[in-house]
Formats: sequence, C-alpha cells, structure tokens
Amino acid sequence: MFTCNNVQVTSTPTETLPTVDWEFDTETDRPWSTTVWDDPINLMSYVTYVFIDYFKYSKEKAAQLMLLVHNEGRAVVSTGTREEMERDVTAMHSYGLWATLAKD
Amino acid sequence: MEIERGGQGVHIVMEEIEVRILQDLAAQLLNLTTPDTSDIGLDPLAQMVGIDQHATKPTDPVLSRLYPDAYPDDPEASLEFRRFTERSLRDASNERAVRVLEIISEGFNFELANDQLKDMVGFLNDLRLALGTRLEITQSLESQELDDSDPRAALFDLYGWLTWMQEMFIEKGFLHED
Repeated sequence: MFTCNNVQVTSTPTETLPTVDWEFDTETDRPWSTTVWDDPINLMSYVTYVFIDYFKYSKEKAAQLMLLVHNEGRAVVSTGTREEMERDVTAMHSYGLWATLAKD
Repeated sequence: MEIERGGQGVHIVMEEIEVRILQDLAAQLLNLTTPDTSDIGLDPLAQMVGIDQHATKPTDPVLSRLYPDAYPDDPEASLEFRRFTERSLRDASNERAVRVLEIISEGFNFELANDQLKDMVGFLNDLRLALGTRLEITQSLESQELDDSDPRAALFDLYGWLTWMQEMFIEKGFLHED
C-alpha cells in the first residue's frame, strides 16, 4: 500500500536543492533549514503532493525529495531565515508531515 | 467508492456505509483535536489570533504526532513555537473536517473541485495519522497484518481502507498524467 505507482522518477532532475552559500553567510542570510522526517504513516504519494502543493516544486523535484526522505530518513526541503523556516514548518505540520527547523 | 477525473476536479460515488464511517471518524477526530476552551483565563485577543499561552506538549501520542516539536533539540523554543501555532493548526484541521462533513452530507454522489479535493486528502491524512498512531503502525501495512482474533484487526482494516481511499484521491486528483 505504501507505494507510489503513478510517480515516475525516470528523468534526472536538473534542479538542485537550495543550498547555503557559506561564503556570504550572515545572520540575515539563509542559515536556517526545514527538515522533513520519514514516518511510517504518510504515503509517498502524499508527501510528493505536499511538496508540489506547498513549495510549488516540479513533480520530478518533489518526487526526488520524497525519495530522499523515504530512503535517508529525512531531507532538507527548504532554507531561509528563521521566520521563513518557522512558516514552512508550521505549513508542513498543517499537512501532517513531521518537520523540524534548525540552524545549519 | 468510485472516483473518476472530470471537469475541474473529480467525481466520486460513495456507498452510504462509507459516508457513515467517515462521519463517525470525523466526529472522533473533532473530539480529539478541538482545543480545550474551558480555560476562561485566556486572553481573547490572543485566542483570536490563535495564540495559546498555556499550551504544553501533549501527552496523547496522537496529538504529539499531529503537533510535533518544531525544534528537535530545544524544548524551550519548541514550547514557544507551540504556543504560537498549535491552536491555529487545530482550528484549521477542525474547520477542514467540518467542510468535508458538509460535502459528504449532501449525498453519495458528488463532484469535488480542487480546493475540496485538498480538504478531503488532508482530512484523510489526519484520520490516518490518528488511527495509525493508535495502532502503532511501524513499517509497511503488509508486515503488520494481524490475526483475526486480534482486537485491533478491525481498526487495521479501517486504516487500510483510509489508505486506499487517500491514495486514490491523490492519484486521480493530483498526480495524474494528462
């Protein structure tokens, strides 16, 4: 039941995750991140849908992130200021995803 | 239940018993997640904007799964975050459940527009998180199959049905190939 038959991850995603640019890191830069953790209840298709619906990621990128969560146990899904990450974590909780934020 | 794509969303046909089960589960969910408003000491302005100065980490595993700590290594920051967010999350989830109840109370044959479909999928997710946490779901459904004599077997079937339904809504509604 915990499969995601309709999501084809066949192409190599051309987009990459937002990363922290350490060279220009300041307090106002993007030093915080939102992590989504794997859990045994949320469906892979649902997690993909959430990443598309909230972050407006492409289906390919959303599926790639979902697989990262599933296979690695967690994935960083966004980076930004503390306020931005609190907003993203609240949104993830509103979808029922297990998410946390931390300073990188 | 049957579900087909059509128009701007999906077309659904449900059996009466399926609607009854969803109504019953929604009532249980609302019972669990409705904030305790018996505390008359709450600041009305804070209440209005969804702040609850008295929020504490829930002891019920279902509630702590629905409203997890935001800062994994910082209980104090997590508590402060909870005071600013948990009540709003509960309210939003409950309002969503009520909207779904309104949709399914209109009959067993209905069209869902995109926003209603999102409500349905989110509502089903709340139900699965609540039931799955109670059942202590761990890995996959297959590896958790229970003996018929196990008192949890019926709930497990219910969980499987909700899973199937949510998967159908997501596939037909959002992840379909056009």
